[in-house]
Amino acid sequence: MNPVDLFSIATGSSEPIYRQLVEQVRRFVAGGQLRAGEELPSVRELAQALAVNPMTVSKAFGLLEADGLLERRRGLAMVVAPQHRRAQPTAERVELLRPTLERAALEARQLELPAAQALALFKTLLRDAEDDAP
Amino acid sequence: MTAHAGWQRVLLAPLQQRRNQGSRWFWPALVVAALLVLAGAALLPRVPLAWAALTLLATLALGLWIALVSSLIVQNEPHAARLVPGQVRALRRVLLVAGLAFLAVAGIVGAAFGHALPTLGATLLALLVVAWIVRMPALGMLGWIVPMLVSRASKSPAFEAMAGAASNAVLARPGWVAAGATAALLAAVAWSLPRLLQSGDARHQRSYRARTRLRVFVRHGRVDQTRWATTGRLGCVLRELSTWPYQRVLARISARRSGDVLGRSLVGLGPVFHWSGQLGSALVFGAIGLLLLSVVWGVGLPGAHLGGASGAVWPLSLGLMTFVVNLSVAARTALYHSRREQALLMLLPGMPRAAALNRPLAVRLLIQFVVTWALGLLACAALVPFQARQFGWLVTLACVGLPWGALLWRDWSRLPPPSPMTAAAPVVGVMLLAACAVGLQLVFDWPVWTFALGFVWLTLALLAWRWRGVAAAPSAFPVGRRS
Amino acid sequence: MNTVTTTPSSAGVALHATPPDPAPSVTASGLCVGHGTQTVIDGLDWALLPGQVVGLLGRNGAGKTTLLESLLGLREPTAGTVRLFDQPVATLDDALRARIGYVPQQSDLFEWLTPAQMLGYFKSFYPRWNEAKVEGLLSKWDIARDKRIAELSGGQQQRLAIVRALAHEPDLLVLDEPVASLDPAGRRDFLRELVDQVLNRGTTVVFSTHILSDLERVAFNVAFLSAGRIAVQAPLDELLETTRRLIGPAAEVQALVQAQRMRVIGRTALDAGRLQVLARVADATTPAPQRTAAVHVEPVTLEDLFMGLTQ
Repeated sequence: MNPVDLFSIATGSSEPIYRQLVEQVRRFVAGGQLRAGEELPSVRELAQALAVNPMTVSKAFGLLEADGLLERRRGLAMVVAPQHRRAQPTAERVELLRPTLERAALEARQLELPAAQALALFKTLLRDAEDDAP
Repeated sequence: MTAHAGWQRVLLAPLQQRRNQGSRWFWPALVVAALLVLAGAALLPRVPLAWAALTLLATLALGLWIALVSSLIVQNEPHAARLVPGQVRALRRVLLVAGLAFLAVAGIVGAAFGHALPTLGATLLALLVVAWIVRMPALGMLGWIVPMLVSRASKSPAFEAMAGAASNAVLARPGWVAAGATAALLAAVAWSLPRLLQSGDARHQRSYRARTRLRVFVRHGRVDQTRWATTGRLGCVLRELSTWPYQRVLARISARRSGDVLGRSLVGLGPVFHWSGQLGSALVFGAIGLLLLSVVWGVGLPGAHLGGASGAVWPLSLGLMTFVVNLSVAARTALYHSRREQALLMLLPGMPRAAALNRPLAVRLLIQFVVTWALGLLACAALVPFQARQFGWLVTLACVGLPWGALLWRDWSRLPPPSPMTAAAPVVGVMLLAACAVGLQLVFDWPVWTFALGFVWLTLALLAWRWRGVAAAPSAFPVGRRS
Repeated sequence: MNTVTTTPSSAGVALHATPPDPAPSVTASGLCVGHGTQTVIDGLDWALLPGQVVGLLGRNGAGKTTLLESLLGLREPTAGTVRLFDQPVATLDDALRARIGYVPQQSDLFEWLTPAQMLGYFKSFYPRWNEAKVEGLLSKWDIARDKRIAELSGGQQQRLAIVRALAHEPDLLVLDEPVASLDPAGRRDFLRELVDQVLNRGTTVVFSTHILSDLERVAFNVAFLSAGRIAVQAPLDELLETTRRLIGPAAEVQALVQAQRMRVIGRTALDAGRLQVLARVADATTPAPQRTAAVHVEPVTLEDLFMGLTQ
């Protein structure tokens, strides 16, 4: 699949676009859709596809490079850094889930659900996701 | 109750429109004009006061009828006609009842003078004809051409024979003729009513759109450029012909990059403003007008008889005066309607600002005005063989329009949007000045040329007074940005 | 927001090639502009740096068009000054005027001309004119060269206006609601092309709009026009990350704001003595406050900022 099609952004959210891109790249790398050494689309290409300012894309890529997730090659597009260069302890990966869980927690509070029920639902969903994924 | 309420609102509409849109000087001006006419009639010994008053009344009634009919036609909007229940019916009823009221008044007046029936018939005919001219202004052109054709044809013997036979027939059986004429008029009324105030079908929509374009053109001087194409091949051809000089000038200045920036930027204001566009229109439409006039009136053809050259002085002079005044009005509206283009032009490198812009612009406007004035005068002089005295009157009355050119010089950054008064006020002013000149001449019998010189001197004085103001004002472009 | 990675956004700044402390390309100080007796712009101060892409946001009738016209010298201010490239705007010299491009709100200008004629006419005034770019854009956007502008569609007219503004390669581009009459696909295309064309050259771009989604994609900085002044101008990302919406009883909200040393940028009184406040933390590295018992703390979207900062 063309890596450009992986990305999508949502306007009107409280998350800046560059942050959405950063989080997406992190998730794809952690989830395996972007493998080590795979080439990312160029800044210009991605900006064209998403209809955003190229400076936003380059800011996102810059942050990812500073984090060690991406590697810059001279004269070529950026690539995903090899496995051993990336520090991906579980603690950090769990933190990636925080935004989604925060939103879920807020909704649960608004619906006035007891924590036990919400957690039970989450466990069920996790089990279903495990069953679906190979 | 509902019928009453509908009528009240329909009749209120023209009053509200006048209050909202009309100038606040309308009623005072009307009263003053009426008083002047009466005073003039009282002073001139040859004119009986009764006739003057009657004519005044008839003119006022005609004006009222025109205002009512045009307001009703404006209210007759296609969507409302289709969707608002009973609206078209209310409009038609108001028109009928108002017409009957006018007829009643005319009948009473006619009976007082002893000619009730002919007065009634003539009034009905006049009401019908005027209503149709308001509905389709193009018919107004016919109202100009037909009398001219008739007056030409009346010189021929065949016409005299026909006229003799017709009058004999009328005198032989007056009753039949009267009944026939009445029946014809009533049939005409019945046929006209649904066509004057239509009921929302496709034809209505087309005619409404055409009338809106005309109204926008007349009120604001703005030509809807997209609609030229819908006037068909003829419209396109005319447009191409009349803008040909402008296109040539534009191509020439686009090709070279040097030269007076202000002059080149004025080309960007469009053919309506630029002299090349005006030249093109004048040539094309002047040729058409000349063709019409020569066919109808024999103007410019050898052996033409116009009822004597003296007969032509007054209408030609009138035409020339209004033409001259319209020049200044047209320049002003053209400047106003191109103000957004002017914003872009002000950002061009080399474009002058403030006094460096205002002074050359003022000079150009004045030159354009004077040259067009002179050409118009020459055209009139060339068309008709005049004697010296009549020629003197022609020149003098043409000079009446000159001071309005001086009024072109103003603080353009404060130019207000054009309104109907913009065009009407100068015409009224010119008429008043001309009337003063004619009156003074009749009373004191000064030589005609003194008046011409007087108007020229007035123009020069106005120009000198306004020159300082023009130089001190902020940049003319974009016009109308301050208020 | 709730980011844990604390890489400051300033790491991204090094990627935008702005030289240290450049001279501003547009400066307005104490600008007051009136419309008749009404004051539309009231003591406005603004500075734009070269290469910035700024979106000007404001309600209808807030004076966006008036402000942009005053910046270009098309309208005289009643007080204050505007300087472009460090020259007073009333007396710009020709070289500087050749570096300015303007796309006004109405796109049907010069409607009696064809695009070819109009562009040829403007070309004769400018010393620098990129004919190749003009031809390329006209072909790419499929604008008929020999059809009168009055007969082009609204979208074509607006694209033509941008071609005219870009053709002389300006260093300052001012656009007044450039996409108002385009459909969503047209808007995306237009903005994408605009950004494409100007970013490489470091052009300063100011455009006014009230279509927020376009702004989010394209603008790097946003400025909110409210009550005749620029209420806030900041990079959009920073603004979204550091601003929070606090809702609660007035006293508690004030206390929280004081405690966290936040800067209030917008304030709305709600019913029952409650207060809604838009406040920014001092800098991006400080974590934003979490909700307390009485006060809701929520992240903001651009629409919230628009509603809260303009009135």
